Amino acid sequence: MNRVICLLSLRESAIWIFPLLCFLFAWVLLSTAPLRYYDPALTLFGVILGGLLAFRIFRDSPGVRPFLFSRAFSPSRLFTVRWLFGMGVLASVWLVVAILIGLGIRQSVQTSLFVNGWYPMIRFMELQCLFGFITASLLFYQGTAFFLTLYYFEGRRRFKGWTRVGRILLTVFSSLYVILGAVGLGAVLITTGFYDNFDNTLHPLTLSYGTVPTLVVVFAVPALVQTLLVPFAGRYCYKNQEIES
Amino acid sequence: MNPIEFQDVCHTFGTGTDKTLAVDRLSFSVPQGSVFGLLGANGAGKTTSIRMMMGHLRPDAGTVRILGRDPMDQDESLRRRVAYISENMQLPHWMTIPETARFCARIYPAWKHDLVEILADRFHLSLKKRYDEFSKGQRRAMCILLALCQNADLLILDEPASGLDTIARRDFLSNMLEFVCDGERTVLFSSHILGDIERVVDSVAMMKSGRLLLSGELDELKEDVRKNLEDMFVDTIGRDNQQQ
Repeated sequence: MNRVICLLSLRESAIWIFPLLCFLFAWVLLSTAPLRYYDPALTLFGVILGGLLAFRIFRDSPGVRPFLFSRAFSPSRLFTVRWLFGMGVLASVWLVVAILIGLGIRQSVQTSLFVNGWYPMIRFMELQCLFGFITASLLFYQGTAFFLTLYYFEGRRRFKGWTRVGRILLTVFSSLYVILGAVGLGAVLITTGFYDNFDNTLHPLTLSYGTVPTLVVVFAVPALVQTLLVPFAGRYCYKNQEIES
Repeated sequence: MNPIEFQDVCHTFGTGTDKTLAVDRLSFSVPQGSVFGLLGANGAGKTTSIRMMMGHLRPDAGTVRILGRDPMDQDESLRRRVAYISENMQLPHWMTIPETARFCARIYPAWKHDLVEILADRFHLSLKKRYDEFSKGQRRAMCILLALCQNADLLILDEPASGLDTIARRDFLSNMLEFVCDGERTVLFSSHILGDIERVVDSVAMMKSGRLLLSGELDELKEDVRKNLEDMFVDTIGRDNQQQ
């Protein structure tokens, strides 16, 4: 049964994700600039990958929902397997990027095609770019999955009494999250701007000591919290939502 | 134990001044092995009742039991035994009939593989076409095909024949009769086409504004009032209008 849900998710997402992944892996191999701790381009790939993947997996057209939600699997199973499938895809992509960099495939391409002199010195140091890629893809995967699930849940449910209070609080927190996200993005742009202020002739991946904790607090912690909370919230929403016929 | 039991079930949509009572103290049961017709004009509460049977909507009051269990438990073993077609059901647009059959066969142990091609042939459905390449009536027929091949103990069908032409509708009805001829399976279906219902059902329930106006075995009801189903329906609704 889990296999059926995975195959359905694969069919819905593959046609969109596959071209993006080809482009991503080509970029990782061919980008001549050293990959930074929070590389803007790789982060953007993470944002698009996470958001698009969740959108394709969790968005059902209204007519398909009665079909899916009346099959022989429970809504909790449907959410859990879909969520795990998405996490599996993300983890596989992170692994492939890590392999391309860590096993020296990127180094071979860079040295043979572009005669890039930074290698092998920065080969393993470039693995730090995974931090930004992983956190960005996780944040947008969890965020999109959560908002889509919440959208269907809210759209069908009547809110009374305490649930109405809960809904208001949820809206406030969601708005705060978006605002904080925008502030965080600004912070990243400013902190990554510090790169230009360093003398990069000795080492291309020099990093301000203040940047790491900022990035961890602004991105890694929310990504981790989201990853822990979204499965519970999503399962609850799937189980209690009203399905239109 | 009756496969479907409703006991004083109520459901309201909206809150405050927008409140609409969609189902009002509805009680009825569907006997095992019967074909049960749920009748009512638009907005009578048929679809709301069916959604509650499927666990897609929680009743505000009363109890709903499907095959002896609460559908809101969303138990997978219960879901395996129930086939359902909703009023506007669609399949993923890229699915062909064999793909859909493969999808469903993996989750329904009693799936009838041999019936897929037979029914596709009877409904004149191409096995190579994708769902979005079919006409509206053919899409409906594809949903019916899936429901019948599932070989479920209970079929819940909301306006199943809407969009089908006369011949396809007749085929569907005869297939449905074949399906229940062993007396073990139960079918509940709602329809506006009274002629269809009259041809196949054993029992009927008539609803208006969420309330049950009439319920019972069709032959007995017809004998009591000496009228066909259509006249009976018009009379019952008209009498209720006068009382109000």
